[in-house]
Amino acid sequence: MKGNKAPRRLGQKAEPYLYLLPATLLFIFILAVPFYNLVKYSLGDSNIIQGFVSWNDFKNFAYLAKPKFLGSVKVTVLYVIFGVAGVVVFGTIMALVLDKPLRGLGIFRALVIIPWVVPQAFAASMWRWVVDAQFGFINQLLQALGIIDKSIAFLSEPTSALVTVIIVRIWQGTPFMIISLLAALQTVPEDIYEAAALDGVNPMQRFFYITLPHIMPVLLTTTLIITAWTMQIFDAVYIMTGGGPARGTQLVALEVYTKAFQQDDLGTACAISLCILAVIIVISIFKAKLEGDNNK
Amino acid sequence: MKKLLAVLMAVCMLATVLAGCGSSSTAAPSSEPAASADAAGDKSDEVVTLTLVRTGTPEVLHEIFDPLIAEFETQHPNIKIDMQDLGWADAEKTLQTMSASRTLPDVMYHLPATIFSMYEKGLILDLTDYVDDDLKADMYPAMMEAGQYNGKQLMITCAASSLIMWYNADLFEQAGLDPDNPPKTWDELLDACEALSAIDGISPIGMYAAPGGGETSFFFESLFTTQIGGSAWDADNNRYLYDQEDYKADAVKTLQLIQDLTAYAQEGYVESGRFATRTLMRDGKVGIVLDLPNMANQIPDGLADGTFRAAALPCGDSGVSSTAINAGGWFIPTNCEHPEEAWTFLRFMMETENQFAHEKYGSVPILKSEVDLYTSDYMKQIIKGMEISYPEGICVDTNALWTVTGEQLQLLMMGEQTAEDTWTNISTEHGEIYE
Repeated sequence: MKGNKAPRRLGQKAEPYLYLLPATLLFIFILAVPFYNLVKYSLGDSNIIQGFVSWNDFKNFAYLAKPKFLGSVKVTVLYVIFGVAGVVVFGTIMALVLDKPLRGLGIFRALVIIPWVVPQAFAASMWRWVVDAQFGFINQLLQALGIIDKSIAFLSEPTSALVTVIIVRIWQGTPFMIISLLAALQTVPEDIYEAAALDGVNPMQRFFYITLPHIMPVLLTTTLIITAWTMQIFDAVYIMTGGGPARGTQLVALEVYTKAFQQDDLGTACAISLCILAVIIVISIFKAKLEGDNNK
Repeated sequence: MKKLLAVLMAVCMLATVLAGCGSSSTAAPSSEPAASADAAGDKSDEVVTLTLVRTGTPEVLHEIFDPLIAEFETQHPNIKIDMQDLGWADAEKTLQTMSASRTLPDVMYHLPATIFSMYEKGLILDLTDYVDDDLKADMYPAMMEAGQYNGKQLMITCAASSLIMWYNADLFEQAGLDPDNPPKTWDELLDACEALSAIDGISPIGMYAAPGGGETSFFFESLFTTQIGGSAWDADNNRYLYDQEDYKADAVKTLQLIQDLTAYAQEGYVESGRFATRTLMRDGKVGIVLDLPNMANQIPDGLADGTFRAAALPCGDSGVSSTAINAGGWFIPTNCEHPEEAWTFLRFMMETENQFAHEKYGSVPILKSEVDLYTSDYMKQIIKGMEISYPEGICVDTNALWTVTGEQLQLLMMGEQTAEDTWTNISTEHGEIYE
């Protein structure tokens, strides 16, 4: 009897690990192996076809200190700050407007998510045409209305090009914020609003002292998610400006693409990607902490 | 029993995961074409199927290639051609994937920068010994050289473009210019732009400054060849001549011309690519565009009635209206198991009539024997310049070099920096890439 118990106990001990094995292997293959390759390729001369070729004394990381790359970081920071701020402000305003029991609001709520569901590449091509200096809808409209004589070249100057791609980012990101906040607004107890109305609070006080504290956890979490997404935006900006003019919209994500696919320099692309990964990990930690606090 | 079943399921899932992550490749492709060729020769009765990829718009290409392939298969019943489609948008990434998995087609068309880079990785067959004297004699020298890298013939050029001057004869007349005597020098070009600037509602010249795709690099390189009267590329050292101190004055003068021309360009030229200027030319919105022969596809009616015309590129100090040649061509990957048959097909495609048919997709003549087949005035202008043209400088670092040149030229054209500063930045950054 004693002899049968030992293998049974071993089997019982091993059983949970066997169940975990498929998930663990999946984790290794879809996360650990790519991460290992990312680190390995970043440490040497690498390209898409041959992978790691040779060690190069951290030359790839030296690129991260060059003015060209620092310029891309600056552009990315501006893009993320203003892009996310715009999404938060417009998303909040739109959510508050749509959280009213008005006729036809259901249709409007459905329409407002269109920018979010349109594929980024398609949306970027559309905007590229809308703001085109020669054939663009906006220029033709403004000229037809007699507001301008000469076309405005939105994408021909670094600052205006950056502003344009930020506006497109806000246009695309706002629906997600609206949807999240609309859900959060449903959780604000109506009786608090009623009590506040009896106390004679004005709309601003109502928003800052009742609504905002209630939706804050969702607002913060959604903002962090949108920040992480915005940092990874590639296709919309690539299609609209290609990073120009004069690298005025050269985001770090575009830098990765240029290095890996246009300059055959996978090593530097991986070094840059590691930096992006580090920033996104920090954001994720914040998000996890926020969610933990909310749950408490 | 339940536990046993659960353990079995876990093992099955593990096996599934491992199978999913495993390699899907079957037999390793041969990297020894000679041995494969012999093998193919031993089995001469066996029907060989070659995969063919011609990068480009599939529906247009099939119209051209299907009859040619049918003709080839009739002539060579033991070789079948399986033509597969690959658009330009996906080409580079698809090629990288196929290269990494060594599943490149047996015969393929692409651009030399990628081909030379693939050769360095052992993926491309050296065609030097395959090229016969007839083909060598028939191809324009620039076309032959465009496929050579470090003394080896890696690509057989079958499509190419040169830079020429397109102009609107009606607008020339309105500006008091003689359409039969278009600008021949840089000074005359600037004078013509000045005259055209008197016409309301048009821009004297259509310019493009968007940095992608090497468009502006080619523009600069072509004008530079007319300044020095020779190639812009030092093939022995794989470097641009314009990066060298000896050629600084010529390079700066060329850059200054480009900056001067932007004063006459359309609104939004900074964000424009080459294609946008073709639409402007078609719509009569610009007087002059320095562009490829592909412009003809946008303005066929105007070309036929003489509204639009073509002339050689206005020249710089050399007095020679040369141009750089931007080429693409056929290559055979080393993973091809039937290189002899692949070459047979490639050689068939390079026969005069077949090459002429292929050029309908958009190309200048590649073979001297084709010249008589062209009758249009604009093509006659292009043919005139073929003997004094030079292949665009191409090496494994071309894309990196173009990225730098494109960015710097855009800054120059935006007026953000002088011609001299632009040259300094280009030569310094190119120097780092050469190193």
